[in-house]
Amino acid sequence: MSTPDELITAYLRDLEAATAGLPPPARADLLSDLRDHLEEVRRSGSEVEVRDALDRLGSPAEIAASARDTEGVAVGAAVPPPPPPATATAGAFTTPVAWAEDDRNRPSVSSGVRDTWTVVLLLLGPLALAALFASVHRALLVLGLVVGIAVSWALLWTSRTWTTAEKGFGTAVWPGGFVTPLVLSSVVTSVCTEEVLIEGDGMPPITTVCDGFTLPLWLGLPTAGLLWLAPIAVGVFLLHQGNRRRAEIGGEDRR
Amino acid sequence: MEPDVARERTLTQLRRGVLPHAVLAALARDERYGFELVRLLTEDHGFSVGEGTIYPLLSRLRRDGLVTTTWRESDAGPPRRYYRLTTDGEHALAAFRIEWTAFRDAVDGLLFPDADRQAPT
Repeated sequence: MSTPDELITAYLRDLEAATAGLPPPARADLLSDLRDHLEEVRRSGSEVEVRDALDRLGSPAEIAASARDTEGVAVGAAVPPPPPPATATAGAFTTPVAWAEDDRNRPSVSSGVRDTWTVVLLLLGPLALAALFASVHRALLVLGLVVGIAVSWALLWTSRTWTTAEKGFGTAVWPGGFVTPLVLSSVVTSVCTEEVLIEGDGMPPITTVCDGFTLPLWLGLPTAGLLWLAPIAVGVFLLHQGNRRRAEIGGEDRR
Repeated sequence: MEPDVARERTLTQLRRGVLPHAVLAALARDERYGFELVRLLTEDHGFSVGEGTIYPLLSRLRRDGLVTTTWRESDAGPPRRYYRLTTDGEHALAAFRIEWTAFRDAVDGLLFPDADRQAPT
């Protein structure tokens, strides 16, 4: 549903395109006269009246053809020369070509559903697939991880929504999504396990075993926090950029 | 079918050729606005012109200085742009009346050779 203003604006825009071949003074006069005429109609009226008035005018291409005809006739000549067919053809095709160019130039983005899935898979895909594959056989854990990363990256980089820089963020923070903080936080915080050693020989029966290198707790906890929060922040950022772009384009479409 | 199409095309060409002066003549006595002019030419004088033809023509006539416009309140509704003849327009119309008479007589002489100037007017 278009408002009278939108109908008139669209009509005048098409008319400008269709009359591009006219001599500039003739074109300026014609456009100004029709703008005035349509302004009269607009002030008088409802959408129905505006549509009626535009119907009576005929298509912009027809007006352009009449104008070419009229410009070719000197007042005083009995019979006008027929309109040059080449010009008429160009006029008739001006508008569709302009639309086609509009469509080509119109920015396009991937759908919101697709983008949301991409972000969810970036964060959780590798973890979920690794867990799924591992439940079949422990040795398949790494395969699940690799497949999860590959699928989520493929979705990310084939999306039409994000810029290359944004895709770079999505790739770098973190490869594997939550797998990275899950693995690393057990390393950087001093999460140690108590093991009961069976061997006696004067050793204390219970000892604390820590794997890999560890950070002191005051440094390890914030680091682990950042590791978990960073991919969430990147994910939210990507979704936000996508929504913003879709809103912009949606606004342009509604004309 | 074919002769009808050809005849219709000839008439269209003839009407189109005299249309600028028909418009001048229609504005000679009264000023009128676009739609009114279309209605007059179509309903009373057998021209098949639409507003899409009239507006480019009026633009042209105005640029040539034969027609001028004023904005006026109409009886009902918003102000409209009214078209009327300028002095140049009146001269052009007067000149065309003479040319047309000569042209019509010449064509009549060919079409009705035996009518001895008694051709229908």
